Amino acid sequence: MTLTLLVLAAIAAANPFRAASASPAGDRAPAVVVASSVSIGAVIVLAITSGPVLDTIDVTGPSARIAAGIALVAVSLRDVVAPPPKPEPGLAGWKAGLVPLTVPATFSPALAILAVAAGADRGVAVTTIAIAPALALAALAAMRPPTRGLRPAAAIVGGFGAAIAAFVVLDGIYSI
Amino acid sequence: MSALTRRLLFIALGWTLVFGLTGIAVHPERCGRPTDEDLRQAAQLAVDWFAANIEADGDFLYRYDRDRAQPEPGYNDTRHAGVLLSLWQAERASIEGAGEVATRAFARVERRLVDTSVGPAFGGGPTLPSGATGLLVAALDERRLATGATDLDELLVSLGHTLAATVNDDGSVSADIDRRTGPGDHRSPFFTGEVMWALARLHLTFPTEGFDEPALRIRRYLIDDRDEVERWWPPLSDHWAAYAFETMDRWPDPPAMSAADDDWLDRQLGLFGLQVRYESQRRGGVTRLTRGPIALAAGVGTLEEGIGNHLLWLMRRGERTDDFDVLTERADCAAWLLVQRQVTPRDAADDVEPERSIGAWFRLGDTQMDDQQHALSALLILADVRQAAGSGASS
Repeated sequence: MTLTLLVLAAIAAANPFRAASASPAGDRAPAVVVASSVSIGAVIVLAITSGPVLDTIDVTGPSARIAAGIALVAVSLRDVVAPPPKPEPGLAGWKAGLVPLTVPATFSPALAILAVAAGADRGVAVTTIAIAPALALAALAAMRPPTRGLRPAAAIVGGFGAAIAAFVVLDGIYSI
Repeated sequence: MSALTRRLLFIALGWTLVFGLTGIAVHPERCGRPTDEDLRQAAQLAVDWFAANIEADGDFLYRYDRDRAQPEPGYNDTRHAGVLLSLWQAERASIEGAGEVATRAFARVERRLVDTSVGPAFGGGPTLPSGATGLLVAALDERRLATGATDLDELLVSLGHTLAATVNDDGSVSADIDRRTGPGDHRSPFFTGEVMWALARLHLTFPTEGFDEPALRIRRYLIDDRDEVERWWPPLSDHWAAYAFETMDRWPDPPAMSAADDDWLDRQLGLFGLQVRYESQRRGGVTRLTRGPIALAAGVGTLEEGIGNHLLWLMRRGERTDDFDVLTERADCAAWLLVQRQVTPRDAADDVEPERSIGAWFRLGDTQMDDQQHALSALLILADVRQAAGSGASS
């Protein structure tokens, strides 16, 4: 998987407009820091453990990329048809960084599988560097209060994500 | 239940659905690495199957229904030539009894070598498949290597000139040869590679006969035009072309790899790898519903033949070294699947006709002689790859 494809897939999987929509009221900074830290930490852990994880479940790297692409199709289609998450119900204060900012807003199952697939394919450092911009965009988006127009924006990213997902699947299919 | 709890449950449900969907699409892959001894034993069993199932006239049991314990009708000269090839490959690898069976099987060739307007060819009926002559040439050249015998050289060269006549100006290969009018207009997905390989081999053995030119013409056509002209979907994984590439790489002046060659090779390796990964996901049980029954052993064997041959020449050239590990992994996997699926004497203990089953590969209760042929060639090519890797050919 090329670096460009990985970066674009991560942006689609993390869909920053979902984070914008779920941005909690009040002092957002602590929650955003928590969400960003938890998400990037999870990405790093998944990338580090990707090899043993895939070995354990008997899945090769190319097949993991196919899985990542299919998961990205699923979450992208969700973003197209369903409204992005709202701040409530959620945890209060900095814990809002966990719910709703990390889940369900930013850290999607597609991002998790993408981290595993990319970790096996490109290594921990490249995976982290490639996914970090998506999480940074989500963090920036979550620093502002939700505004109008986030649903169509999230849907557009979802449509873009479905197209990117096709390339991720093809990358897995045409790999040795 | 609080609204937050409901939300958390909904999130968990969403994750479960996505993981379930990906689990349906991507299954665990059951692979292993057969030992050298596994390969040799399986190859010996396959040769033993041919020895047990050759008839007095040199024909083999063509197709057999294990459940009904009955042979099924049909025969195919191209496949007979393919079996000859695999047996001479086995003889060269010192698999016991292979050469003897191959010599007996030559009786069919002697009966069915016919003169056409472009030279001798192998087959029956008014039109003869060019692939049968192509594989016969490969088999007889393999015999020459295995035994050192040169008694059939004149025939080999004559057959080579017949094959050269099937190569059209654009590099395409006529799939049939009319006895009276010569090569026709039909094309075959596999005869192109078979004829290319045969001519490539002949150029190594008889370098002054000019077999390199038609072989290179086919190569250019196969890389640049074949998929568009003949069949663009589904893409063809061409193990015969892999054999030809491996052979051409041993020419004194091997063809250079162009960008188009590299693109084609990328696609071929991807196709072989994908099919091995897919096949290894067929683990029985629920995967029968999502992946279908196992593939023919002939099909699995061709995957190994394709990967193995490409590995051999890439290792020799020291190209695409980054891919060696994964290619070897896929080659091991395909061979492991074959070893696991071969009928052993213990498996056939309750068979009505165990000699029809032992050493064979069955799919949905049937085996066909080319299942044994391709599987045998596949097991032997992996042994060659390991030997080449062990001898430092990759360095």
